[in-house]
Amino acid sequence: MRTRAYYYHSLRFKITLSLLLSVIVILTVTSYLRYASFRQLLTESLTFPAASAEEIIEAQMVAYVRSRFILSVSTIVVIVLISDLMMSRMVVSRLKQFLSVVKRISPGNLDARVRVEGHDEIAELAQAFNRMTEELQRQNERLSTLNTLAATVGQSLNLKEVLHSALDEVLELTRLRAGWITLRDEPTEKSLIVASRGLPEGAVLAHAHCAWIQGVCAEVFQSGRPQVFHDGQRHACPAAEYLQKEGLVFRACVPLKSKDLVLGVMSLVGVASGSVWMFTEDSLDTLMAIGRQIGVAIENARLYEELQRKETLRRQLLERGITLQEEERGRIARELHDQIGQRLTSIIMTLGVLEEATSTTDWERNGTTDWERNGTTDGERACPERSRKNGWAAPEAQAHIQDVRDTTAQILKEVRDMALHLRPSVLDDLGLLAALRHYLKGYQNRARLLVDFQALGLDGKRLPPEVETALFRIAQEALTNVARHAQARSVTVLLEQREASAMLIVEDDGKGFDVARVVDSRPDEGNLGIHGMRERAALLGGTLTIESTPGRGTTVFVRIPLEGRKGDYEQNPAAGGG
Amino acid sequence: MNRIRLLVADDHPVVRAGLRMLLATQSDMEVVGEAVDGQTAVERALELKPDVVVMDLTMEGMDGLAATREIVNRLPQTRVVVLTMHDNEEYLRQALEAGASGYVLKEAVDTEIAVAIRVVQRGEVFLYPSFTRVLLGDLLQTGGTDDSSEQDGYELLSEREKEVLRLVALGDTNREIAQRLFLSVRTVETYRARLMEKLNLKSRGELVRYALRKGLRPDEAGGP
Repeated sequence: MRTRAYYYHSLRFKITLSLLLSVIVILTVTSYLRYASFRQLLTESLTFPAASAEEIIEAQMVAYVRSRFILSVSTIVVIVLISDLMMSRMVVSRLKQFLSVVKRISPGNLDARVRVEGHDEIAELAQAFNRMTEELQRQNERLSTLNTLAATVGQSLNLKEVLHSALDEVLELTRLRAGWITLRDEPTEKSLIVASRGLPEGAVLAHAHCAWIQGVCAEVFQSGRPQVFHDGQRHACPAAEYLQKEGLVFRACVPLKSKDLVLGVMSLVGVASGSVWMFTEDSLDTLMAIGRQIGVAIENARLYEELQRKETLRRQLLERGITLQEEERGRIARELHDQIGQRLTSIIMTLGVLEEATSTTDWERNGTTDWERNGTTDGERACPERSRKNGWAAPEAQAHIQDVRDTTAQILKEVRDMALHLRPSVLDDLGLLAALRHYLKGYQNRARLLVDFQALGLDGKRLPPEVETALFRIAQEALTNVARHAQARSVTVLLEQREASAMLIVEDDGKGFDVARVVDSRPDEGNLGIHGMRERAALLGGTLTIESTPGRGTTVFVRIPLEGRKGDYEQNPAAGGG
Repeated sequence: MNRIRLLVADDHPVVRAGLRMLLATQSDMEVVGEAVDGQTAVERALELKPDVVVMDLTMEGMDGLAATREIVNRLPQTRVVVLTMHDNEEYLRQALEAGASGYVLKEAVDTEIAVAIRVVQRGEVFLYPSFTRVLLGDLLQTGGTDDSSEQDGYELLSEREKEVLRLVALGDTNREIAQRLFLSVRTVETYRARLMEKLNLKSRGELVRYALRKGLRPDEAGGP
């Protein structure tokens, strides 16, 4: 590269040349000066012939020394002046310009370029610098491309949206005409265009029948490497023909990867490879990076879809579980109440009749009754006298009947309590207000707590049954927690229906707890009750908030919206209670 | 002597049979009809015009409460004794509101039903004894809570405290109040504790009751 021409342009050559020039100039000036002094000397010697030879020699010597001195000084001055001039022209001013460009670039203005003048070392440096800046600018563009893309695909978790916006972004950056993204449809094993931009309609239709067994997409999909076709290079793709027709002869196929797994292929097409976006190895790298980013976005969107699907399923299962549980509890409660309860009632009544009978029947006269016969042994029957003495006399029989009757009444009570515990019928028959009032009476006695219950805006009105059940169960759970953990002296329960929402507040004056620690921790045995309450409220679109300060008690707030639910809460909206 | 004419309404055959048997031992009573649900009970009552109807509360179709209301309305001479398993004053309240004159628990049916029938037939009221105490308690409690002599410290409250009082009474959480008033949750707690002390309120329940009396809630604006 270092040719002669280059040497002529180099800074070293120029400086040497200018030094030589200045030496020549100096020599010329010196010779002229010497010539001038000689002329003066000769003129003087001719004008004053009386002067002796010594005088002439001396005068000559003085003139010579003086001229030499002047010469040296002027030479130095000239050299300094010339070299300063040259240096400033060739080096300093250009370095200054260089510096100003560097100063502009360092804060991020990568568009600035150094002006290249001539062909010397500084020009060479400027060129190298400009190349470096260009490279920097490209790298920067690439990074910002990826960055923009990351921001774009990160904006949504909806797969279609993500892919469309990613495609738009890539097309804008590459300045290519059209593009599409195909994902593998697992059940049919066909390639499915999930997003396309600027694609001829025929191409979309043709692509819909791509079996993804052969063809460029399949290759990219299997190899995980990008493929680029220039100038209409033939490649296997059902859409190729339609693309050619439109003059879209450039094509790049980029795998969309996540964790080394190819999820799909992005194809980009353009008019001609010459006019497209710097299609070098480097830009392929960028496309690969873009492909990875879109791949991750696809994976994220899919995971999110999966999560949402599971969340919906969980909700449905939970709702079903709760409904089933309530129904089953209600069914067993009714069964206990109706079947067993009524039979026990009938036994009590029969015993009542019997008791009556034993008090009115003349045992002595009528002898044994069926009942007595069953109650005595054969031996006793064989000896009527003993039977009467050791067997049951009327008052005794009455006492036994009384015992059985009391036991039966006790069983009836227990059955009733079991039914109440399973699901209070009062909740279904008379509503939440009555059910809570009744529950709180029992609770107050069991928990030895002062209970203050108020209901506002609810008089005579029923809330929708699912809301009544949920609020009743939440209140039960909250009150159980108060009794179990709070060490409270009193508890306030407020039930209110205001506007179109139902509210329940349970507040105790107990020891309180660190809500964030208990509620936000993973569900376990300790906080499952709280999570259960929250889920129950959430299933009805409501919220449950717990506020607590250690030492100052705990408040549970439940709000459930009533819009769009059936119930007579809509009527009489102005009703208030005191 | 005229025997008391009875109609028995219960959806359980065993209970109806038992009642028949039980009441048959009473020489002054006579079961003139049976009904298996509320609707039939009303029809049979209108037809037979019994002196007393023994009514179960929970039956298919029209329930005992509705049937009681209907019968009492249409047959002023007929009394209704509710015979139920519900040892629950909520049902008692409802039954009395519906116009029943007696309330007997099934667990005490053998000893009390005949007495109850005789009592209501005389135009008096018979309640299962443990309920009498409940009603008495309610009566005393209503008398007790109607305490209007409570001294009022409302004027002692600062504007902020009044605002916090109103929002607490509305059921807002401390966090919501803090956000609305641009305060910290801590500060709201402090305001609340201070205002409750000033007004001598011991609990949220008392606070809400106080706010209602003061008309501090929008829906109670035209109220007390």
